[in-house]
Amino acid sequence: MSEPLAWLAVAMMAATLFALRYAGFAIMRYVRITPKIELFLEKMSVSVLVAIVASSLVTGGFRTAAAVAFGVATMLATKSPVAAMLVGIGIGAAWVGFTGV
Amino acid sequence: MTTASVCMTLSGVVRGARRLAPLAVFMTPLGMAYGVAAIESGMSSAHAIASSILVYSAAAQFTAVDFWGPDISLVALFLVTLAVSARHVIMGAALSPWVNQLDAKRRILGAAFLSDPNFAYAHTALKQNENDVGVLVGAGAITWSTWVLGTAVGAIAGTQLGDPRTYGIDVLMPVYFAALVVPGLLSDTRWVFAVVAAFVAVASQPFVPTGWNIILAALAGGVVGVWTVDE
Repeated sequence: MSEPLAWLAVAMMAATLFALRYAGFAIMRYVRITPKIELFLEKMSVSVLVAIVASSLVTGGFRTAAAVAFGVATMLATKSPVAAMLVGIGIGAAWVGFTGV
Repeated sequence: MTTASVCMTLSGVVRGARRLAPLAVFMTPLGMAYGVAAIESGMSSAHAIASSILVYSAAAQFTAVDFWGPDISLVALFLVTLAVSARHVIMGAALSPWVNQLDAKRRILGAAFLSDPNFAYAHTALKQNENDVGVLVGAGAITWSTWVLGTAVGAIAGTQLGDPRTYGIDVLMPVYFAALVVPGLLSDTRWVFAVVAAFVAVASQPFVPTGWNIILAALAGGVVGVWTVDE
């Protein structure tokens, strides 16, 4: 790919990402936040994270599921997201170490 | 949800950066993986590093790597970037009760680093006792800096680094997100919305372009969430 085209591609992606990042704020400036809309935004935001986790469980299979399960158990026991992450990636690494996949 | 007296201060930025520093450490190997993938696809190391500085979206950048080549279509790249990253609109809308109380300059700063990890952390914090949107900026800036650092190392050191799966780095994000949402869901008697969101995300994944299943799931979860409380 030519040098200017490559820079154009990077600039276009950067502009798109910034527009998307700002769009949520901009749109909501014209929407009156009623208790119902507040509840919708709240449930929607949790749903985004739930959806990312659910998709990655399907894509990642048992290895990701084991990492998430042990990570969540650690979070519930310690209330520490850092401990949860360490246990999760530890399981992910150990799985590859033992099974080779 | 309390949204009174919102501010954005430097101490909030520092607090956010500190809180997400442990996660940010792990963004370095993830960035390395991107740097390696980018140069393997024919991207120059300057473009790889610039894309991490300016675009700062793992999902959009990894997808762009698949497209990179002499025949790249900017229109196709634009549409894919839009599809993969459209959930940022939803995250922005969810943060708007706090961010929109700030002036335009601070809103732009709030948008600059908006991504999955700092959204997950800052939205949770703001719902509790936090009233400083600086935490969103600080948390975003720290993960951005390690993502850029990792990309630079990967793009320059290349393929000698090995597979991030060996170190379990690829499961980091789902583990972190699950750790943040599951405790809240366990104490929520109206958790059906989350089950619906998970189901929609998984069921629609094979049929819609990459990333759109997350948007469908978020909208479904939002609607069911309002509906189950209204009953």
